[in-house]
Amino acid sequence: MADIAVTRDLVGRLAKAARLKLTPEETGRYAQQLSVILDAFKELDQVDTEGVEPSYHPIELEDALREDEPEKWEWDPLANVADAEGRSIRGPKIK
Amino acid sequence: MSLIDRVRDLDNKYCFMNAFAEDESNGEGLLKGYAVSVKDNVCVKGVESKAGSKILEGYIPPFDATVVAKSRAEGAAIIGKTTQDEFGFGTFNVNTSYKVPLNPYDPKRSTGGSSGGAACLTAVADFPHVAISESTGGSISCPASWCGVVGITPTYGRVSRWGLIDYANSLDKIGVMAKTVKEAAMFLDVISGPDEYDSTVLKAPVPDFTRMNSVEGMRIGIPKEYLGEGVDPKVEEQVWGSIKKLESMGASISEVSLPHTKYSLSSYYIIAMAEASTNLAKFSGLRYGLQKTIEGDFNQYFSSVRTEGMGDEAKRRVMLGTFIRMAGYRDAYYLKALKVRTKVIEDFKKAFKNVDVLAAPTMPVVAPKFDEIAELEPIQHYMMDILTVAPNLAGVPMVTVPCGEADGMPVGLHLMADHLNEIKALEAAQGVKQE
Repeated sequence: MADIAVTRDLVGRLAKAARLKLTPEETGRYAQQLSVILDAFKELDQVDTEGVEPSYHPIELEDALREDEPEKWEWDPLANVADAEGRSIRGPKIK
Repeated sequence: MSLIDRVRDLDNKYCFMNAFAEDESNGEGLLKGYAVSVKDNVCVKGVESKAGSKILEGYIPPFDATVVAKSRAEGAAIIGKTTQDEFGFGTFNVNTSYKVPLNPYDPKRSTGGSSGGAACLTAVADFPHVAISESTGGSISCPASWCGVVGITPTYGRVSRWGLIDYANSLDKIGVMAKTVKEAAMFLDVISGPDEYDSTVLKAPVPDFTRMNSVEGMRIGIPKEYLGEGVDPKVEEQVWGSIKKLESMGASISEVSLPHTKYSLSSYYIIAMAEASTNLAKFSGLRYGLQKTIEGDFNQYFSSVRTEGMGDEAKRRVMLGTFIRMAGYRDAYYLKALKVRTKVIEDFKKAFKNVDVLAAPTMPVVAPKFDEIAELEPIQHYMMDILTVAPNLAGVPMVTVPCGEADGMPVGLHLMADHLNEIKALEAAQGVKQE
């Protein structure tokens, strides 16, 4: 892992990608904290993982597909919508 | 006094509940007469379920999680939702906008997290009670040990996660807490097994976990990396005391090595943060939970809701997870962490060729005081998980059992077994507790 300079600019880009708004104070604080944490992660470079397969799961999983048959749900997926019109949800403008 | 009124009374003193359920019905079955509490991140039909997060405030699930439905089918009364760190992001149950539970042994101290409310209620309940809890990196073992109760984190995939508000899908495990090993084992029986709504549930047969043998002839390994530096000597003394007890009952004790323990913390946090940042991407202020008057375009609206709805630690993990998954860094961080995870799993597999159970302290110290926690930097919070993250990364089952006290606070012995071998860890726990 390369040395990462966690600048205010990088934190700003991460926040934007994650749809978060930060105050200047928060940006500075997160830059410092993220820098310490990412620096600690570099210890993984000490582990020789040449030829080692990644484990996406801790245990071998088998595919488990059910029969492709329609099923009627008993519950309403729109039960928690605050702003609905009929069976539609009101959302923000795309642009 | 009704059951719910009694729970409310206790909650006024210890602050462990986020929402109450008025279900006092008690049918026939293994849980007849039992109150079951449910960690806030597990959905209960008709009861606010918010995983300790403001962004899910007001969310009323229209369905029961499979573990809740299975509990009801065995006659349980569901009493409500226990407090937790937001989405499970924490070791002290202080990362939440809601109640911070108080340790039953000393209210100035943490219950541990993230299933803090579950552990607290399990300790103080003066009625038959078992708790549905959940662990990603130690969220059952840590609070159970600090509150002096039994906690089982089953093998990854043993219990359905349908209805769980996910933190990290390759790590999350729903488990149980109880006052006794027998009750915990009985409850694990109830909630284990296949579920058509969760394709990751293992097809392996579920044994009767309550049929525990004695520890005579059991081979117990002591991982040398889990003792010594960083572990409070008073904690270690209690742990050794219980190991000697198991030896006197006929178990054999040997030292083993899990050489990648040191690296499990970084591997765990990288994987957990990457998965958390993708899971939390769906919370956008539409359809459920926190919903505001719609203003601006979708980016502005989503950003406004997420900024208001997520706490400090959630934002930190989402940003770190976003970084870890970024083009150019993904292989160096995420893929590397997954490969180190393979090495951690191999450590356990190798150890379990020679021993049945691994025994170690559950936590390196007793529950810290809130004023001590307030002084810690985020990375020091993460380092507290050093003894619990490796077995969680490997998805092996583990049981924490009370094994004495240090400075008047409970100490837990952690018993880890090979995949699907919960019964071995339970047998050792039963030996320690001698119920």
